[in-house]
Amino acid sequence: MSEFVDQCRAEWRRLGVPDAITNEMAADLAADLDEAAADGVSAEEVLGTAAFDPRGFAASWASERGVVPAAPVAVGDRAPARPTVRLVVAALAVVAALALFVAALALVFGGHGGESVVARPDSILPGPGPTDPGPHHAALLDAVRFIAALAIIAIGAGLATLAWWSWRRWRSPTLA
Amino acid sequence: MASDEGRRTRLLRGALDLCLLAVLSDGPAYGYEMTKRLRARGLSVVGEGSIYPLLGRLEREGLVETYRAASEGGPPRKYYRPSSEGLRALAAGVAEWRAARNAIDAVLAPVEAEVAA
Repeated sequence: MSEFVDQCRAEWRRLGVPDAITNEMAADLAADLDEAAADGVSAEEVLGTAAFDPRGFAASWASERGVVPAAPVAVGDRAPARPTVRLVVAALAVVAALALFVAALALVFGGHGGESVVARPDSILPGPGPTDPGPHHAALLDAVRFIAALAIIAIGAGLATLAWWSWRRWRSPTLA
Repeated sequence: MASDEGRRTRLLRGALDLCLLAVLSDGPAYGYEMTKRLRARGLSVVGEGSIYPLLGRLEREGLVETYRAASEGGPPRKYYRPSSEGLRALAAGVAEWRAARNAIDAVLAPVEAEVAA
């Protein structure tokens, strides 16, 4: 009889049932089985077919009682992010995309007349002098600016897409 | 066709919660005491599984209340008694059971007559 209770106790511990509840259920079960034995009643008459399956019996009892802790969330099955977190991420992505877009405009349209926002020409390539970079040097600088602007626009577009995607998920949690 | 034992098991499984609430409506009882009350009314749970998981569910659903008290000459026991919601569920469940039983009896009655003849 005690072996049956011991196996139930081991199963409850394995399932993570709190000790207090494990001890309570084990004590109640042991008292009932002891009283039944004193009456000449077998464990099978008290427990039915569960008398031959202590682990299944223990798991069923704990589950029905609702004392088995929830299983940890599996990787790939994580709970969806909270709406406030999604909203903050989306807002940050929008702000970053706008900032990058403005920076790209400044690079393309604001660099020829005055100080370069990328780098001083003399710090990139040696040339005839800091105030006269020469036609070849200026063409190279324009190419660098163009490529940088394209890269910034691409990054901004990616961030904007991320923001839109986050916004859709926030508005419609059932969407994949 | 299901065996007689399998059908009886399924029928009892669907009504055992009502039976437990019914014997508890006679007065609070602990687990083994309920088994004795059921047996005294002609219902053995042998083969139908244990009442303990069912008691756990009734407790979780708020259909029974529990408290600990000393038993006669034994250790303190966990006693169960039906809550007010449990009593309402018992009344509703008994009405459903009787309605289903009457409908099935009406269908099966001619079969019984043919067998008897």
